[in-house]
Amino acid sequence: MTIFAPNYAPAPPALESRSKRALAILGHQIQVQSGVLNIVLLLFIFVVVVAPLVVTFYLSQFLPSGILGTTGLSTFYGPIGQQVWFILLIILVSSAGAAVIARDVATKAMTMYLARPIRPIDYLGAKSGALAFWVFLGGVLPGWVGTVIVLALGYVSLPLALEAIAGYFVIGVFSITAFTGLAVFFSSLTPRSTLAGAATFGALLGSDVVMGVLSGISGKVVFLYASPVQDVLAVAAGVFGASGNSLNPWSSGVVLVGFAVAAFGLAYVRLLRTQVIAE
Amino acid sequence: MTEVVRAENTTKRYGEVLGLNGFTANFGPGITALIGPNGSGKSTFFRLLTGQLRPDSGQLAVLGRDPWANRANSAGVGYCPEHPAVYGWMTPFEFVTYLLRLDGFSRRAAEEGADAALATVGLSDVADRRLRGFSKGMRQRVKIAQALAHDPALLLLDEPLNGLDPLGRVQLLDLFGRLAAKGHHLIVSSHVLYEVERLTEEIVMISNGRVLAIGNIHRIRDALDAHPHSIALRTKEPRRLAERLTAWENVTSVEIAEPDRLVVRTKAPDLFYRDLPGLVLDASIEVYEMSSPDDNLEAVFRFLSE
Amino acid sequence: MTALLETRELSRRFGEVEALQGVTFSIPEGAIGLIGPNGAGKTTLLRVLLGLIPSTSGGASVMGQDTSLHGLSIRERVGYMPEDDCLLPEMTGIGFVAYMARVSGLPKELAFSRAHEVLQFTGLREERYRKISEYSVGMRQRVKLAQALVHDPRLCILDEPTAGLDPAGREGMLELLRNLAGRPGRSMVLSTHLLGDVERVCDQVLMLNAGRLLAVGPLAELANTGRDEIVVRLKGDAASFVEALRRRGITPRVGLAELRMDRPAAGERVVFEAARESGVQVRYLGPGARTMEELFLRLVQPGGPGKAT
Repeated sequence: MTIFAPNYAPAPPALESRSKRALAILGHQIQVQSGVLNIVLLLFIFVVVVAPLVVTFYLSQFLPSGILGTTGLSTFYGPIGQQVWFILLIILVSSAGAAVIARDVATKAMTMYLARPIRPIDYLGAKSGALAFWVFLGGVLPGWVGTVIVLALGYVSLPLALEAIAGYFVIGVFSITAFTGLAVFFSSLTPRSTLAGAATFGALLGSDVVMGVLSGISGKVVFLYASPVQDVLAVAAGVFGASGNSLNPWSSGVVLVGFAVAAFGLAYVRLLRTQVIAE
Repeated sequence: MTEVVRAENTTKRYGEVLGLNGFTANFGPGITALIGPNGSGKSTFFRLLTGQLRPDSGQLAVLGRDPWANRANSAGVGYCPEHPAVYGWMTPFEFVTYLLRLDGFSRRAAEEGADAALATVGLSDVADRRLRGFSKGMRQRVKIAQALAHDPALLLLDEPLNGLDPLGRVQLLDLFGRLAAKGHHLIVSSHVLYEVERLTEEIVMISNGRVLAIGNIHRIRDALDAHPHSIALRTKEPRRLAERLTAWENVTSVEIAEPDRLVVRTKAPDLFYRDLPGLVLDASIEVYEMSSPDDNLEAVFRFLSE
Repeated sequence: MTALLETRELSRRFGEVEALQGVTFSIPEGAIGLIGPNGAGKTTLLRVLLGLIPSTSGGASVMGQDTSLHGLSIRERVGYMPEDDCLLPEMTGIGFVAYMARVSGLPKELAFSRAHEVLQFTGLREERYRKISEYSVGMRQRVKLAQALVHDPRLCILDEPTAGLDPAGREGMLELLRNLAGRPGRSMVLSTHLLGDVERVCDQVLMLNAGRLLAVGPLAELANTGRDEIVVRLKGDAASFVEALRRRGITPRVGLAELRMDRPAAGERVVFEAARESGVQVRYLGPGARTMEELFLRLVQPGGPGKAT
């Protein structure tokens, strides 16, 4: 075996900033998340969101206003209210988020990361950012695409479309931070990705079901605040002016931010406890 | 002299992957070192000896019996595999006791055996702590204790010194020596050749599923002597020495590498080493250092593997 | 010239355990062997030096930078080769090393070209395009070494680099490490249990036990027994050789594979005389240095803190 000692420059290369290093991690994680399953889920979400929007607005052109109700901002709440979108989004975030930290713990690649000139917060930020991007693709973009299509088809006016786009964005901010936070938190708890994914899914969907039952039995609406899904629905209803939701959108927004802060905070603490060099 | 292990043309395949390929070797009493690159078949061989696997063809006898047919008699063989296979939630005492009971020992006998084995490897103080918190070296000792616990006649140890600190290594080498003195037979595989050399003189070299060399280290080294060696000599009079050496028939080249250092290449190292004292003394040349990179176990291995 | 590594009464406690106690040393550039029993505090020391954990009291600096203040900056100039696998199996060798380079801050193009260079240096040829999941132990060690070197660190810390390697692989790795150790302006810390490796590669030694410093300094000094000794290795009947020496008034100390004796007044020729007389071949003749193992065993009492590891 021959060995070549490369001609190393006398001075080590100049290094890029911490943010560039974090971006490298983010870019890599997005690549890792772009597996077939996640892409298929994404496409499915698009269909589930865009189709009803287009069909509703199309039909509203012909049918008398009594049958479908007036089409305004609240129509955009439709896909959200059906909850199918959110169930699919939960599956997406559980699938894409399961391995976001867990895999690095399982393979001990975490050691490689943290032994480098980055801080744990850079790592957490980059990984969360990558997941948040994916949740954006599934949680906000379909709404935007649907809106743009109905605008292009002339079913709605420009000002309305712009309101809808802003609306989806606002809702997205809340749903993205809460869902991403929870997924990242569960992924940081265990080296087993499947377990983390199942936990995320179970927590999000489970809280929805359980709190619904508790609220129904006790007659108290306050239980619903403990379900992130119900909170997002409340915020969406508030933003789009849809009626029939029992929670206060402002309170729901606060609860969601609380969830996100707690989840990210705990995940960060777990990271700080990681022994980079094993005994 | 009874052979402890006799393998004749033993072959074992896993689908397309070759484990052993016509492996033929006899292992005598005492300690024998099994040396070979990763993937050469050592672990396969060990598992055949414990009766976990069955050879596809060829013969295999352990302490006179076929290990596959006599798995119930595995009491005679103790195996310490390479990769950590200890249960984190158990303590060393529980672990060894559990495995002994799986082998059919009564609870009482198992516990006594475990105590004795753990004492032998020096883990008595920590016998009741969870294995999860143990370092690699300590887990290694637990595995050795487990292999020893039923007092087997033959011990198979796959890289037993892995992960141990220098103190631990020396202690275990001592332990192996004592076990051999008490009448146990050991087959030890290790990559660290200078430690192997301190343990035993009997070695079996395996490569690609076959035996590369077998026997006493010195005799194997003699075989190496049939090939050219390069020998470095430090002397105050390199030129005079070089002159004398070039006159020798078996010396192919002499190079003055440094002002006080010669490098000699010879076709017949045995003759060279035999005749050098005479030359040095008759010509009154002071030689104060002599060494060769070709005169150790690594060189043997390198040469035989090519 | 600033020392490479420096500590001042460095102490670190975890709950009740004193992992490091008042460790003080100053080590110049070079190749340093870090040795000690399990639980001696080597891991803790490495964590402190990399700026990953603070000290409980006292301080440390690496290449002149305080580890408690400039951990990030230190890690920019230090490479770490871990003992565990720590690799991402789905990636290719080149992909992984280039990615790690980017996380260290190299721009993309430079990251790839440097990754190829270091992979070439560590001997991974076409294998670099295959997935790490298919790699043998030897190849994994080489990838780990490559990712530690890719950003051209001034100091490289290697944790058990020859672990799991077969003799040929070990030879190859030690060659690489000697190569690295010889480069000017670049240093290495080799943390290992194989003292033979330290003797081949390092020029300095740092020995810890039970959180305290046992010994530190140039290998040559530590290996100096203070006696003028010579070592002889033979082929043939050692007994008759020893007899021949005794007849000349020399009593050698007989070890497992070698003989040692004080250098005779008449010089090494005595050895050749004994060889000629007894018909035994001398295969090795050299100055008697104390091996690191002897030093280690002498300094670390068996039955003491190092025992139950």
